[in-house]
Amino acid sequence: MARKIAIVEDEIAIAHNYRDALTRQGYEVELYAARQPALAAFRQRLPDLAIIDVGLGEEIEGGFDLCRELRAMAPELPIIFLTARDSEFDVVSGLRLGADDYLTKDISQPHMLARIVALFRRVDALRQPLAPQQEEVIERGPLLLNLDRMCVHWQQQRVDLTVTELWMVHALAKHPGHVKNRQQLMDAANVVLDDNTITSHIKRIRKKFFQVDSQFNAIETAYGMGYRWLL
Amino acid sequence: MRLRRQLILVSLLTLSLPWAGCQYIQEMEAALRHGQILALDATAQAVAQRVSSEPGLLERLQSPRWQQPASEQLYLHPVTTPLLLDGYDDDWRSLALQGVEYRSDVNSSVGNHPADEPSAGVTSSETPAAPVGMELTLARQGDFLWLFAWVEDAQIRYHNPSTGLLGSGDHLLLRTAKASMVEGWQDYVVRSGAPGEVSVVYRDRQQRERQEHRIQGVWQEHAQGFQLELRLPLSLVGDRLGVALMDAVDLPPVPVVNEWTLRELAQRPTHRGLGNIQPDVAAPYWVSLDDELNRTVAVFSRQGLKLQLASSNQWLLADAGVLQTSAIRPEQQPHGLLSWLYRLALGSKSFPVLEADTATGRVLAAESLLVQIDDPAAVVGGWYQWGRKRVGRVAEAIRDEQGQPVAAVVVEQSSDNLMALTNTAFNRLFFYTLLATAVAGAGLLAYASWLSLRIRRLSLAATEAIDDSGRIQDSFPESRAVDEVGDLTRNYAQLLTRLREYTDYLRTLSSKLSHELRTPLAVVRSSLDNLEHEPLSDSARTYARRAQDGSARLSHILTAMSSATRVEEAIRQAELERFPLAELIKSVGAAYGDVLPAGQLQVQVDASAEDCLLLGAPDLLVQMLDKLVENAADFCPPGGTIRLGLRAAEQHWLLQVANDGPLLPGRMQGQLFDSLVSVRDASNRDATHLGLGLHIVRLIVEFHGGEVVARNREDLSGVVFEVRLPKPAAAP
Repeated sequence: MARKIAIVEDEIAIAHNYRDALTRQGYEVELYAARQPALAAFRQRLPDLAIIDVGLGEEIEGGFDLCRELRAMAPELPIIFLTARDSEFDVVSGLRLGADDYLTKDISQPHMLARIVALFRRVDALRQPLAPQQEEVIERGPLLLNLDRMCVHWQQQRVDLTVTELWMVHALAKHPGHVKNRQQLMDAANVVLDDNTITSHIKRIRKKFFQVDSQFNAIETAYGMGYRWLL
Repeated sequence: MRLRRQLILVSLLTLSLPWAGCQYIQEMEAALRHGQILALDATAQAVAQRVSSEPGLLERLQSPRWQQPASEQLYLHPVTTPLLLDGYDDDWRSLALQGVEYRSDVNSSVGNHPADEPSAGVTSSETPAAPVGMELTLARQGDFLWLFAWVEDAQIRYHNPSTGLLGSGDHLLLRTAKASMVEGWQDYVVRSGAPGEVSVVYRDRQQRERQEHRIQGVWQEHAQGFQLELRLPLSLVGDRLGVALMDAVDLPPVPVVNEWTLRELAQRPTHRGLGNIQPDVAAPYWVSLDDELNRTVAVFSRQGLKLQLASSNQWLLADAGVLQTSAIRPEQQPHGLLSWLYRLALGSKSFPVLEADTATGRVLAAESLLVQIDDPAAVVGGWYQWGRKRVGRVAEAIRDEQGQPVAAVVVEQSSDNLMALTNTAFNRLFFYTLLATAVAGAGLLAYASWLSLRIRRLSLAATEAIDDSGRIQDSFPESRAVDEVGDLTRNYAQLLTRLREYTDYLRTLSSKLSHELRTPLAVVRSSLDNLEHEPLSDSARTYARRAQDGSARLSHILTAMSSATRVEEAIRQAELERFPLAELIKSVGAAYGDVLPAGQLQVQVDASAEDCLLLGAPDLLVQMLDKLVENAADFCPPGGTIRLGLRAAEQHWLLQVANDGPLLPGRMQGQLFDSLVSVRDASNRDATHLGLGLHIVRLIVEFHGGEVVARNREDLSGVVFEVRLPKPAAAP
């Protein structure tokens, strides 16, 4: 059964391009140009993944509202923000509303598809646990990172990371002690970001670990080079 | 010139106030003077008309007495004080009368002898006699005529009765014309044999020698000669009087001849005559004040007004009133400065000096002459300086029925009152204008200070409105004053606000632009992505790939464009921590060393900065260094070096990134750190430079409370970017 992906996007050309790309991958795609029709359709039937633009026509922050309502309806539903607005404030707002990732519109299709696949994998893993031996798991001290389930545990406690963040942690933790520069982190996370966005991603990752363990200091900044994972 | 100095200069214009006041006073004084002249003229006219309207008086003025040459006439000073007939002039001196002076050269005498006249005398021509002189003063007291003759004569010869002459020695000759005598005259010889009482003799019609007892006199000697005092009744004198000194040159060599007549006497070569007697001619009229005219004129006299009546031959006919003389004189320049100012300010015109009255009986005022010549309608008058006072003098002619001038009225008045008036006015003016000038000056000065203070404040605010880095300050002190300066302040504030809004807009333009461009870019990119999955010819695929590359580059550019905004966001969210700056520099330097060509980067951390602890955001500082080193690397020529240095200054940590690259163009230095400003060569196309790197540097430096400057090295070998980071106040 094809997975259903809802795209809420007021820019018809983009919406159609994404639909074509996703359809090509075998997904079933629904397009909505505004918040109200989308919401009405979601009430009838939930999609498996929602890709939402923040600004929807007249509603500048319609995407955020939609995300809130959708999250209320379906707590497990993966939601991706795809928007031209890339300010730190918007990113934080989007993620706080429960979005699983926040992407800027100029992301390339392969990067986006990889993300979608990863998200579906996480959803699947939550629904039906896979056999442990089949899973790609990295264990570094208190860190337990399951790339198949797309989840991270620190000291046996789940750390709620977005897909981008998880890939970054994975890239760092895979080779502890090695310095990963920003470009490497970007490649790992399938994104094109500038230095500051990387820095704020790292900052957010640290904060999320801090919430679990206030002594967390496994990610070290190597000034001028990048970051490394400490054992 | 500073504004305050300009206003002080302008305030000097208030000095025109006293000037105008002085001009006014001068005008006023001139007008008053003119008025006084007119008033005097009116008085003079009144006197003139009064006199001319009275036939009796007019007749007196027309008498021949006033037609003779004045120089021949003798003036009888009217005297009221009693005189003592003693031959001494003490009592005369107190009257201060001016006598007539006669002085002879050696050979001259009254009787103008022809030189070739046969002369009996021989001695006179052989031994020239010493010059003689006589000062003759005449007075009239009641019905008596007093005469005082002071004679300078080196050789006094007394009368020798044995000669049988009327006067054989030095003697005085009086020639009178009694009223009873229609024609002819009577001569008297006043002679003396020794100092003491004189004897006066004359010859009667029968040529007999007679003594005249009504004429009394005393002869006294003095060092230079002798003096004579005579008293004779006016009735004896009549209308005419001639006086001559007969100085005996030598004793007469011839024996006594009784037939000597007086006429011969005058011609005798043994005597020199000195006086106003001409041989064989009746004596001139004597002149004196005319009592009746005097009474008439006196009616018009008043305080401070001097009225004089001058005959047509300039004799004083009537004299009434005196100018106040003594009252004003005593104060000798009470305020030296004030009177100096007075003279300076009023530009006291110099008037001709009026000679003190000489009491000769002559009226020598030019006006009294002029008025008898000039047009009758004209006011003849003028002002004179008389001591410290000024005297106005006006003359008016007295005319007979035919309109011919017969006499002149001269009126004099000192300008005491006028002076007092202008003096007071000047003093007041001086005080008031001084006060006004001081007040106006102080006021203007205060106002100038206040105004220039405001303008200076505005100028200062305008200077500080844009800080060194070219950023516009948020607060501009707006004035609430309603005047133009207030308007200017407000306009300036408004202008700065607009400018700030504009620069803010410019600053955010790139990020806004990147937002706006991102959506169409997304359309392009997603379309190209989709295109890859379509069957395309090889050539079409090439184009698609090129389009893909181009859009990827565009995406990079858009990301870079919003980087400044992102740095600002990062700054907002930055958390400060205390960290060792030196270590950061070293590790960053090591990291750069890997990237840059070997040996291009030199890191120099001064020993003074080894233990440098900085409160800041290391991430941001690294980013800043990234930009600076990246910038340096871009400009550094191959083989050149980039120096990354840190050292401690007094209050700062000095972080320097220097390279050997091309120098900065002078015009851009101030704006180098502004958004979207780049000094890079436009020909270098392969890299994208939006001029945001250094702007980000500045944002980060400012966040740390420091400042950044870019300048050429002093030896012009390269460029130095210098970041000053303040040392924390409570450094451990």
